[in-house]
Amino acid sequence: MNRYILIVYSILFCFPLFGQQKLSGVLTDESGNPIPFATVCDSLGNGVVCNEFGNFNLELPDSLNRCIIVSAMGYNTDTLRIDVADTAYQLSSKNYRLTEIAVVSCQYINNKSPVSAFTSGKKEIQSLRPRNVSEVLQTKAGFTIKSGYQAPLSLRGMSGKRLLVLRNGVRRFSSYPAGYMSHTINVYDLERIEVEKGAASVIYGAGAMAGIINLIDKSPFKQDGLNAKITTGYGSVDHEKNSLVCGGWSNGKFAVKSGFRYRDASNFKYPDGTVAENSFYTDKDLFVTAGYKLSDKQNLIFTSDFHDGGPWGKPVGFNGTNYMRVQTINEKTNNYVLKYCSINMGILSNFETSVFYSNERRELTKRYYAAAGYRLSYLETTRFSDYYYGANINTVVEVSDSYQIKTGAEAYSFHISTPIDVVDYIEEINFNNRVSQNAHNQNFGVYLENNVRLTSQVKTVVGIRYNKAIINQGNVHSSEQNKGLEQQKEALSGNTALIAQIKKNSTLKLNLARSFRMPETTELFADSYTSNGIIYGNPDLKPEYCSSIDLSYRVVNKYFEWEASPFLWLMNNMITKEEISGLPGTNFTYVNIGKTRLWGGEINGKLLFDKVLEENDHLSIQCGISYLNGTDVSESADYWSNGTPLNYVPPFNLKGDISYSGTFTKNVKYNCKLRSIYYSEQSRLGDNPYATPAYLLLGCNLGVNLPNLLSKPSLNVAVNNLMNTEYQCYQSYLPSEGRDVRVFLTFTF
Amino acid sequence: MRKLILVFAALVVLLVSCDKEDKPLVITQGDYPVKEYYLERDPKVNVWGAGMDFVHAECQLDETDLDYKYMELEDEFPYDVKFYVVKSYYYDTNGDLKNEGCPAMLLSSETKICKLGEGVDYFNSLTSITEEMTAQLVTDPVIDFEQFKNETAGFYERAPLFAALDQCAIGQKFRSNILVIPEGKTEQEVQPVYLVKTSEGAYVKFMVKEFKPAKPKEKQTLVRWQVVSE
Repeated sequence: MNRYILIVYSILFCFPLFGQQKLSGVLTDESGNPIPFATVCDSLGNGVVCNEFGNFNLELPDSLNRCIIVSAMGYNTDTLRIDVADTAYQLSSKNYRLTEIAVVSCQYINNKSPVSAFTSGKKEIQSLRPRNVSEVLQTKAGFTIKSGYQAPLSLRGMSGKRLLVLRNGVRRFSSYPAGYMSHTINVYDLERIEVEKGAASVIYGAGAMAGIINLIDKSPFKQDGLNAKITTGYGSVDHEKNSLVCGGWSNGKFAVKSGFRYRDASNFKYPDGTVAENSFYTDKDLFVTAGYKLSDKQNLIFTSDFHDGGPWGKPVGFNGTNYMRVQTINEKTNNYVLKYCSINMGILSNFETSVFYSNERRELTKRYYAAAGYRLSYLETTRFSDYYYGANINTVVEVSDSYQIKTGAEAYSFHISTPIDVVDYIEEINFNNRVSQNAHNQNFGVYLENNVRLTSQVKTVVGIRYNKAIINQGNVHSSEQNKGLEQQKEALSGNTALIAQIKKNSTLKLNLARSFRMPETTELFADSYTSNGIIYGNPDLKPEYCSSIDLSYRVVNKYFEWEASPFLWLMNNMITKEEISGLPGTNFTYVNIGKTRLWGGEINGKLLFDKVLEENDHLSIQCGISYLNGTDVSESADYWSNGTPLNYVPPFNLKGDISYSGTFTKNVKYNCKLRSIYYSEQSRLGDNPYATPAYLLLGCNLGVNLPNLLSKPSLNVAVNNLMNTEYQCYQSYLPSEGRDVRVFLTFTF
Repeated sequence: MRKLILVFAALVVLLVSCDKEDKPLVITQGDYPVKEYYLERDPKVNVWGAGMDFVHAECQLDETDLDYKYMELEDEFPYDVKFYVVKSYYYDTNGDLKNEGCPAMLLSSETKICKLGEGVDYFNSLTSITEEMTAQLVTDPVIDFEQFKNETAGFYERAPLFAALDQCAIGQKFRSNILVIPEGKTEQEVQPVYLVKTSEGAYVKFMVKEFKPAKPKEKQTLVRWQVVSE
């Protein structure tokens, strides 16, 4: 089977050799100097942003006029005729700046980031018809999905506290041990998902070790007049019913936008047809944003989102026993952010500040049943509640044409309580325990990053960040620790990066960084009761660090674009669990002895064709390869010795898709996509239960749009696990979902 | 040409599929098979004990049809050894009431036992019973769990219960935090091997092979036994 799969992917990678022409060029000023981050659009407004060196690649359908519209801060917006033989385009200087460019320029993360980065846009998100953000990202090399509804995000094997999730630049916390769960937001509210793969602690602070995922909402100003969209959908594998409504209004100065989702699903089915008992869910999401433009250079945007989830359950057997049912009977998250943005105010070319407040509540129940008679014997309810608030400031100072300073600060306070109620039906007793009661973590960080353009082809980045955390154990402390009630931790991180244009269309990025994460209240002070035993807090924990080398080599030319992004991460002071003796039961404590070596990388290729079968059609082929090697070398003297394979490292995997879009008639447009994901056997782990077998998943999408009819109806069908393959996600010993046919009908007004 | 390549690629992708096969593992040694079972260890699941009946009373020295059974509160299953786990409660320094599973192997009143050696290799090498061995057989003290209940709250008190179980032949000695595993050894190399004489007079070698197996069996305990000739 592996041979077939490799043949398929070899063919996919050979496609770029037969590529067609795209419009590529470099944008310069009157002196011939490249203009970075300018926008280049076709006559319909579909556009791209130039990279650091003024290079751009744009698909330009032949049906359109052969012209492009280019614009940039400080230059006249111009419409230029295309001459295929000429790849250099010039703009003349201008004595005022364009307001919208600053907004656009921050959207394209790959042009700004010193590490490999990408953006998944709304069109891509909508076409997949996903249930959550994880289902979008799992199609990208480097990301892995672990489970179904309550999907944690995982990049290069890292999740939770080592992968930072932001929404519109504001960090999101969670009381889940595995970190931020992607089911708590409505993925259809998002304008795009920006991802940086690699250390980003200098700009983003604690937790940005494996990278960042920034979930970006559409600006309320990006709409014209009154508009609305209604979608209804159905999924076959779990009888999921979906209802989506969104709408908004803007007059250019005021704007408001809102979205709502309701979904309800019963238990899903495994590929063999059996029902995954206790896997149902019901939830509601509401998103509201409103904006006011103070002037052409300033605006104020308020954003709030609410998730009312529950009840939902984990399939029986998820926690390793058929005698326990885990359900979340109530889950609510409320998030509020007020953001002020300005551009070109004095020496500040960009200034952003946000204040935020969020709270989260959920009730997790564990019902235990006696093996004899399957009678309810024990009920444990944990009432998680947390809230956090804070503010951040980010500024960009243009010192000169070749020197830019980015600086900013962040302060936040995170509070958590986790009381547990217990009913023992055998002993006939009730009691209440507290694990954390207002345990809190106050964090403050400042950073400075210098961006120096050495030549028109070479840019350097040098940054440093200082963080201080005051971590308080709250009103309950570990029964095993007798040290202070409060700990202060400090962390210093930094990075040095080089971004160079090697040839006309290729860019090299090298980032050397030291990123960090702070120990958390639960790790320092609380006793956590898990399925593996009691985990005792350790107040002596230090911050965890990762020294990393991230490389990215990207080539974009007329025929194809591809990127290789290898990396080496050496993590020290890793906070891990260690079994302790001398206490009754199987128990653990958190320790700092962890030391791991991770290396690997991704290769991505992409190709676009036009006029394959007809005049106005488009074909795209994408493929991504990912390899990760992780070893625990805690017992070794150095990082290069043999050690124990890490069980959370996903195996070698390949992902690809073929998309095709065209028109039946003038009024009927269609698109289709064939998707595939292959995971090799997790062979490094030997007999470890995480050594999951190889599997290949196929999926497809089909969409039909009638754009010229009233209400612009569109029908989308997405099929996941097309071949109904039996498989286990890595880190899971339960089979995953069987074939799921999802049908969505949308009307736009 | 591109059309052809596209169609070919789509066909190849569709033709690829995965297959899966499961092979049962059979352990047979001597006249009687070695038997291994995973028994639920969580006291909230294994509430009244898992009784192990090594041989049937009706057909002596034959294998039983029901090797083990999760027992009810009132149950007459004729077990030889019972894997019994109760929740023992205690107050921590915060004043919170906490409980801990108290897994123990208890003998029936007519069963005798003695420890012979350690480790799976010793278990496998033991093929005959000598008089020296049978001379060591003893019965377990009868433990009345009710006497360890807190009079006011009604739960089992951890400290006196642990002390009583320490008097048993097996008791809790197989627990991972009680069993001492020397440097360079594994749990399976040091778990005690016992000789059990059942009420029917059969001799059985018995051991806990893994107190806490790897996932997904982590909430269970793996026991191993084999009937041996005298």
